[in-house]
Order: sequence, then C-alpha cells, then structure tokens
Amino acid sequence: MFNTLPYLALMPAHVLLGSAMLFFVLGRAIPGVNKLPPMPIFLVVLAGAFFLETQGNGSDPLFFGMMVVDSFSRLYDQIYYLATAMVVLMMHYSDELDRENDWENFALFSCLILGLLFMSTANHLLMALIAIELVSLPSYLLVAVNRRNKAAKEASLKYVLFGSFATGIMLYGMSLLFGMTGALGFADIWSGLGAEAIDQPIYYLAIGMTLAGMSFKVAAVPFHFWCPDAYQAAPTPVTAFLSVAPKVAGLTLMIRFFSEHLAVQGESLTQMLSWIAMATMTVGNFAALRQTDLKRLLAYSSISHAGFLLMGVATLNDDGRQAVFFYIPIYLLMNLGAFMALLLLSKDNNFQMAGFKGAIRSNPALVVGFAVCVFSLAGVPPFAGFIGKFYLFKVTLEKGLYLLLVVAGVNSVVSLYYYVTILKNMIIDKETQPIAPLAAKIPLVFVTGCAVPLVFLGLYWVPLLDWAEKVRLFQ
Amino acid sequence: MTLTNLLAISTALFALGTVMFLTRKNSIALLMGIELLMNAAALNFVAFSYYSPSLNHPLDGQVFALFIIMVAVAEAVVALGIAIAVYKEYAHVDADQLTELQG
Repeated sequence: MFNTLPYLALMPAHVLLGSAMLFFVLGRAIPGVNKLPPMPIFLVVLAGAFFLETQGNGSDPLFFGMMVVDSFSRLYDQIYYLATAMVVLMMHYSDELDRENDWENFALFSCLILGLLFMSTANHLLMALIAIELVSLPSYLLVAVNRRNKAAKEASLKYVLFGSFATGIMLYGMSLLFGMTGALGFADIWSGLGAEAIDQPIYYLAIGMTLAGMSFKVAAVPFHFWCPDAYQAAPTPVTAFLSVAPKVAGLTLMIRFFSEHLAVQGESLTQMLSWIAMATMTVGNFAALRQTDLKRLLAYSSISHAGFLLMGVATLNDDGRQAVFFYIPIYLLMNLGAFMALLLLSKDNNFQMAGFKGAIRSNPALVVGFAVCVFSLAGVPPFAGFIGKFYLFKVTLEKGLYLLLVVAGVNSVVSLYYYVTILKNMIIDKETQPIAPLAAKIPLVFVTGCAVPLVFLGLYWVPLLDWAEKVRLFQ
Repeated sequence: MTLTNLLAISTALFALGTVMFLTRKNSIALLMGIELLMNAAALNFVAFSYYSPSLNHPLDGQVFALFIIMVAVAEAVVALGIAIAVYKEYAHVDADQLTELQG
C-alpha cells in the first residue's frame, strides 16, 4: 500500500525543484520567459516555500525512512529560506555577479537549497551522500561564477579538488559502516554497531571517516583548508551565503546522524566531537589573528564559530540541539550584516584592512551597524551573540566537558583581539584614502535590519528560545 | 575470491588514491586519485553486499555503488569544467603553482 499523503510534507522541496527547472530549462526553452524579472520570481518562490514549511506538522518518514520531515527539519529549512532571501537582496547591491546571468545563478541557488533541505531530513547514508553532493556541486560553481576574477577560478578548483577528496574519504567510511552493520539507516547503524564495537579501532576509523564529508561542509578541522580561499575569492554575497547555510546544514546532518546512538556509545562520540570542536575553534581563531584581508578574516572567524557550534553538537542531547539552533538565527544576522557592510564600504572589491581606515567619518550609520554585528560576533554583552554563546557554554558545562569549556573560553578572549582591530581601523584610525558616502539609503536598511534585532535579542531573547524549543525532539 | 581478498584490493586502491592526492601536482592527476578513492568505496559496498547481504534490503550495497559511480561522474564534470576555466587563465593546472590566494 503506497500512501501518497505524507509526501505532501515534501511540498517545499517540490517548489524548489520547480524553481530550479524554471530557471535552468524554461528560461532557455520558451522565448520571452527570460525577459521576466528573475529576482522577484525567486523571492516569491522562497516566500512560498517558507509558508508551506510553516504549515506542516507532525513527523513523516518518507521513502521507506530514508528521509524524515519533522519539526527539526522544518525549523532549519525556514532559516535557509531566510538566509537565501537576504543573500538575494545582497546580490542586488554587488557588482561582482553579472545581472544578465541571474537565471543561471538562481538556478544554482535553487539546487543548492534543495540539497540543504535533503541534508536536514536525511536519515540514511545514501540520502546523506546525495544531499552533500547536491549542496557541494552548485557551491563549487557559485564560487567561480564571477568570470572576471582570476583568483575565483583558482579558489574554485581548490574547493572542488578538496571537496571531492573529502567525499571520497566519507564514502570509504560509509562502506566500512555498511560492512560492520549491514545497514544504511542511521538508527540501524548505531544498533548494529552495538556495545562491543567501542573498543575496536575500526569503530573510530569508520565513524571518523564518515564525519569527514560532514566536517568538510561545516569547515571543521582538518577539512577547513578550502574555506579561506573560497570565501576570499567568491563574490561577497556568495561568501555570505556559504558562511551560513551549508555550514548549518552540515551541523544538522551531524546532529541527526548522532541522534540515535546507543547510551553506551555516547561517551566515545562526545569525546570525538569535542576534540574536533576544540581543534576547529583554535585553528580558526589563531589563523584569523594575522589576516589583513577582511573577507579572509571573516572566513577564519566563521571557522571558529563552527567550532563553537560543534560544542552544542558534542553534548549529543536535546539541550545541546536547542542551544545550537538558538545560535543560528543570531549567527545569520550578524554574519550577513557584517558582509553587507563590508560590501558597501569596499572600493573596487578590495577588502584589505587598510582600505577601510576611518570609514566612520564618511559613513557613520553604516559603521555603527557593522560594529554591532562585529561585537555580536565577538560575543560581547549586551548583544545577541553573547546570549547565543552563553547557552552553548551552559550546555557544555552541564554535560561536564570542562576541557572543552576552558578552550572555548580562551578562544572567545583571543577572538576579541581581531574583532576589535577591525573596529579600531574603521573608527579610530585616520582616513588614508577618501571613502565615498553611500549614495542609496536602502542598503543601509539591510544592515540596520540586521543590527537592531541583534541588540533587541541581546536584551530579550525569550521568544527565540521558545521558538528553538521545537528542535529539542524530532517530532 | 573471498571477502578478505576483495577488502585487501579496496584498501590498496584507497591507499593508492590517497598517496596520489597527496603527492601529485597536476590537478587532473589529483582527480584521478579521487576517482580511485571512490572506486575503492564502491568495491567495498559491492563486496559486503555480495558476501553478507542484509536480510531486509539485500541490494542496498549494490545500489549504493551505482550512486557512487553517478556521483563520481557528476563531480568529474564540474571539476574538469573548472579546470578548463583555470587552464584558460593560467595556461597550466598545477595545483601547487596556483598561489594567487595565500596568507
């Protein structure tokens, strides 16, 4: 008996697939269609998918349990639509992307979001593989989408080589897991591994190798090498998108992969993840200290943020899941706000720190908005980033991971140094080259729209915490 | 041919692929190394599926191997496309000489 009703839960994915077809095929096949404005169409698609996502409820195992659409995936999917809509607006103010290629760009974005949706619902190794690839392939292309930028092609080649290597390692790990358990579904794998496997090295090898592909998407150490290059060379809106959406999707895949582990396995997995988290935040922060290119600096800062988010994943409990989700809307706002401000302040797409000296004299409002985002990234109270970090630290403490807690505390202090250096450059230093004041007022609304909620949520975060309740259980 | 033999072959393939990825300079050679990695995994899946099929889903491993082949092709298409773009710009595809971005 094949019941089609639960498949309605996949409606948002169908909408995105339709939009990918529209932008890839119909725009070419039917003359006149590509005269339509692509940006409003894409925004309407995103709004429609967002609306459908809010309407669903209950937990639906689809395709023989290969995917599960539940409260967890619905909440994360809403974040993806929000992030994409903001990035589409950002693209409007960037001259790094050719406007006449919008049809292809949005087609790639549609495929990418489809992959993100699969990543948050995957409950099976095959689905995980397909989701990771569906996210990776458009990402490689989006990095290189600016034909005039020589460095972007180089970054994209490094990205694709490194990404394929990580996929290869992950596939080998998956094959080992399959050999050990004879199963591919996440729950069956953990029950198949059982209690006696924990003492064997092959257990750690198989899980560690499977983690490689997910770590690559999260940009966790040791699979972070692609990140600075790709972020620096990609068009700024694409960088902003890559620094949020695929990273979060990698975390969702990790959370769901580990969610059904047996009680006896918990200790070993927590140890493994907390070592990854410690390495990630330390490498990200200390590499960021000596950067002079602001996009590259924010890339390293996003690596360290991935480390902080992995703290929440490492606890492997519902409090940890809630803390991770709580941090993500905040992270989205502060990262996109910071990138948008940089995009508007930069001249000729040059993001060297020296070019931003004394920017506050010509663009006071913009720099204040940027400062709020950066303070929030640094986790300074009373901004929202502090509250987000506070909850991540709290769940780590409750789990009793003291070493991880100390390392994370030291890292927060270190990160303050480079964030403050950026602001010193913009606010205290004298102008070395004149920076034109912003001509249009609308982009300022974007940055303000990111900065104001950050202040507000820093003072009153209960609504967000209540919203994050829904990811505690997969229901 | 026993399962042990097949696993030995796939481990050798995996090792060769990794060594190739870490030591070669030409991007195309790196891609060939990656291809070896993926084929090692596919061989593993087929071998496990043949010698110890799971009761409920006896064809799982073989279907997975098919998907690995598909994924490898898709990745090669994208990677070679980008390699061509890089070649047009730099007139070579040596990964260790692409040093525009560093720091």
